[in-house]
Amino acid sequence: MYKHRLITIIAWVTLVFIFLPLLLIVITSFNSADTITLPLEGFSLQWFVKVFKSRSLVQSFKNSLVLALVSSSIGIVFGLFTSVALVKRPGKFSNLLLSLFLSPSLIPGIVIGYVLFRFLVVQLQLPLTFSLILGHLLVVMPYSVRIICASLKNIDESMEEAARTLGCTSSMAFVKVVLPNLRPAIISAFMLSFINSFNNIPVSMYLKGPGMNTLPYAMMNHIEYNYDPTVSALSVMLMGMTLLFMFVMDRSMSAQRQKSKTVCGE
Amino acid sequence: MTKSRYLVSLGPCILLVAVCLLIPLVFTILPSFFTPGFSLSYYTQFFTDSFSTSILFRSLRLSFITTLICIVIGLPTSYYISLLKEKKRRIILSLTLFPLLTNAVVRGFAWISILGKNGLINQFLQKIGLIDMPLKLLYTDFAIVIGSVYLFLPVMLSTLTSVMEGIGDDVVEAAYSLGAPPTATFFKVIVPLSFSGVLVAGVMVFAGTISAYTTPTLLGGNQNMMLATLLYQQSNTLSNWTTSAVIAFIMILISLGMMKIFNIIASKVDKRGEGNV
Amino acid sequence: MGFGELRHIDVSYDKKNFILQDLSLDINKGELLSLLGPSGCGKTTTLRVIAGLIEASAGTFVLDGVDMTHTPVHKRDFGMVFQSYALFPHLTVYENIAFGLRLRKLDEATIKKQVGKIVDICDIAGFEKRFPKQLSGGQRQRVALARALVIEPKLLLLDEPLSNLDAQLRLQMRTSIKRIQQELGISTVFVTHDQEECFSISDRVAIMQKGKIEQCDSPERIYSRPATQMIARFVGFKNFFTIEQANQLRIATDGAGQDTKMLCIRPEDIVLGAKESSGLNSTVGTVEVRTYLGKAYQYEVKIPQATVTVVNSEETVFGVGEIVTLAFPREKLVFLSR
Repeated sequence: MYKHRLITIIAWVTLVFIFLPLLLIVITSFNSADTITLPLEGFSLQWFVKVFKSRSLVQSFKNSLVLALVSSSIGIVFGLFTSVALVKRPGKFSNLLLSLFLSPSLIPGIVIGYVLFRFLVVQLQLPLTFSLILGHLLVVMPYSVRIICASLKNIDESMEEAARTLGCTSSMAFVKVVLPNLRPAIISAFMLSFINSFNNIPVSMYLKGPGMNTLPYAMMNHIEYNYDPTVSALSVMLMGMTLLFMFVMDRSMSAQRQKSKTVCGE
Repeated sequence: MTKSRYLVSLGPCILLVAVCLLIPLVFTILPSFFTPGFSLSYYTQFFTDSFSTSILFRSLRLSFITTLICIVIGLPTSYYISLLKEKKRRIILSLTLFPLLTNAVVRGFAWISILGKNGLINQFLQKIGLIDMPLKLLYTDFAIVIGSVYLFLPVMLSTLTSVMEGIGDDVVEAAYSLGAPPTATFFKVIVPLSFSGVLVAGVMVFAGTISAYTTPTLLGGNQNMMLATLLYQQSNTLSNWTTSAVIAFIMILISLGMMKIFNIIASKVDKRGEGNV
Repeated sequence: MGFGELRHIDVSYDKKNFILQDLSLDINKGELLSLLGPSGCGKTTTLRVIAGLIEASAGTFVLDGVDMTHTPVHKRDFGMVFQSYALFPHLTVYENIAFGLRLRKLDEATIKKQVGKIVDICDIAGFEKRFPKQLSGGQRQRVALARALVIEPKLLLLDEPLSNLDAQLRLQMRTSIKRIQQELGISTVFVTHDQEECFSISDRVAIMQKGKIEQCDSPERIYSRPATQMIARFVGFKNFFTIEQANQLRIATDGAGQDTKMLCIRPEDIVLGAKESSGLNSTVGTVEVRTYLGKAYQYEVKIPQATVTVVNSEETVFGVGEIVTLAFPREKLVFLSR
């Protein structure tokens, strides 16, 4: 309707504020000079090469990747089991239980990291790797529970019942009928869990050890001792990886949408 | 679903939360209340120490300022986005959410390279001769606020935009027809009707900023510590278990306290009704 | 020369599809003018052009001598009632109504007086402290009306204000609206798709179809002298004949003009008689279907080339298969050029 001039200006300044810093990182990562400057002295891919040459960065990347995959996958399983129980047998404790399962997202991350360190590592002397997985699992589990629970509530129970009248046991019915319809929820829960685990700092910071580093922590270390575009280059690669990851997930979700459309005869 | 199946399904999660959250919390924090008899001395120690209280107040102050800035910038920006046509709106929204996918180190580093002594701003100002000596922009409260706003603005924008999309066109047109120019309509109609979104996002921004570690550490350093930085220093560097426990408990209180206040305000507002009528 | 004049209004978004084309309309001072038509005919668009919510691609709008074509909405000083009422959910009834007055920087005492007056006129006294959420449909409608009227607008615009109400409420409310409109003497444009509602309260009706005004007249004239076949059907005419058909059936066609294409007559106006009473202007036919309507009977009578619908409330009842005569009184025939 009306074009508010002031609002449009504020909006665009804000949007530039959001994009510009990341854009600057991308640009300065290609600098042939030794530090972060503008304009670029020359075009060079040396910093990208340096990333791959840094053993700590590469190793911690692998660690973070594996950690994220493992914790997200386990998180999805936990989320599935929990959601099924909560939705199929709602009782007076359901709300309380739901709050319990979502509580890790309400406690400050650094507090979670600290108490886990004190209890699992210092007190129980559990191996670091195991504690890390547990810690990340705790952090990502609420995402799975929330997303899968919401989706499950919307799935019509009579589908399962129909399957059972046709000869399936209840577990078979769940696997054949409900799971496929939960696919979009599972995929987006996995996506969110993976990203949050990969980028997690407070928990990883406390539960790290020699040889067991996560990427964000290795990056922080690197910044402390070197002020150069290596981290910029790594950031660019991470951004690219995240984009690719989201693209792939979005594709598989729309493939699922297409399939269900033809099944319903649209 | 049979009872046994039910318990088995819920078992793993309950175990996880109990072993990895509840028990560790009690184990770590309970000792802070005993010296060995029940006493609050560790807490009074914390609140009488000027160093700790200055950090606490800085954390509260900067979180409050960050939340305020996010709201003030967020409202007009979200309104602008909510008025865009479907396609453009989706593109701009996903672009504003993109920073959320990068980790806090990347975002903090971006601002270090902009605000630092050899950062882009100082380079530019020196090059055009406006200043001789580099300005101290990094390792200040200002830097922490900018970094925190940068961190949480996308959350505010996405929440407010979806709330504003729910405000009917007809209410806005009614305001125009009654004589309200666009600016008055924004303040008298759009902003009040977005209040629920402001509340929800505001709590998220405040809680997030006051609990953050990476951003205050990278941008504030040891001269401008926040609660999380202090906690890490006390626990990792100094191994002060009790002080760490005190700080952890205070942080939990603040986060949960915010949620409670939010719930109270939300239920008060709900009485007057915010949906489209 | 009306109080309000729309002249040669075009509304189109791509120069090819016209929502309104060369539309001209007069609004007389103090009258209740309705825009009536099926959905998609452009009546709401016309109202929104008058309100200033849509900008016409061509044409002018003048009110009381002032050219308003390019005046922004908030400067037009018109009161508008939306189909959804569009009450402000975050304000009480009192504040909703006072909204426009506050923008006009009136003092508290004056506002209180004005709001009090309009609340009485619109019959919502006692609800001032409630929120829209707590009101029923009819109450919200009255608040919306009060809010639009309290600013003493030059023009009152109503966009299908009654369509969300149940039948009984609709009847009550339309009488209230007419009463208030006459009491305040305010020029009103009323958009609706309900013919009965429209005809019962309007001083004049503009019937629209496909972006054009087909006929703009008082309800009585439209009812007795519709201008087009579409309008005739709308107001209850059945039995349409071309001139040739009419001549064959010995229906008097001397009332036809140069461009008359068809003529029509209402079922109630055809005179039904027994076989023997056939005369000069009458046709003979056979009863095919008979339906009991309560006050009268409806007959489908087959005559050469057509089936005629007749409604007869006379004592004599004719049976199916009976031969009857139909007479078409000259003064009841309506001639149409479109």
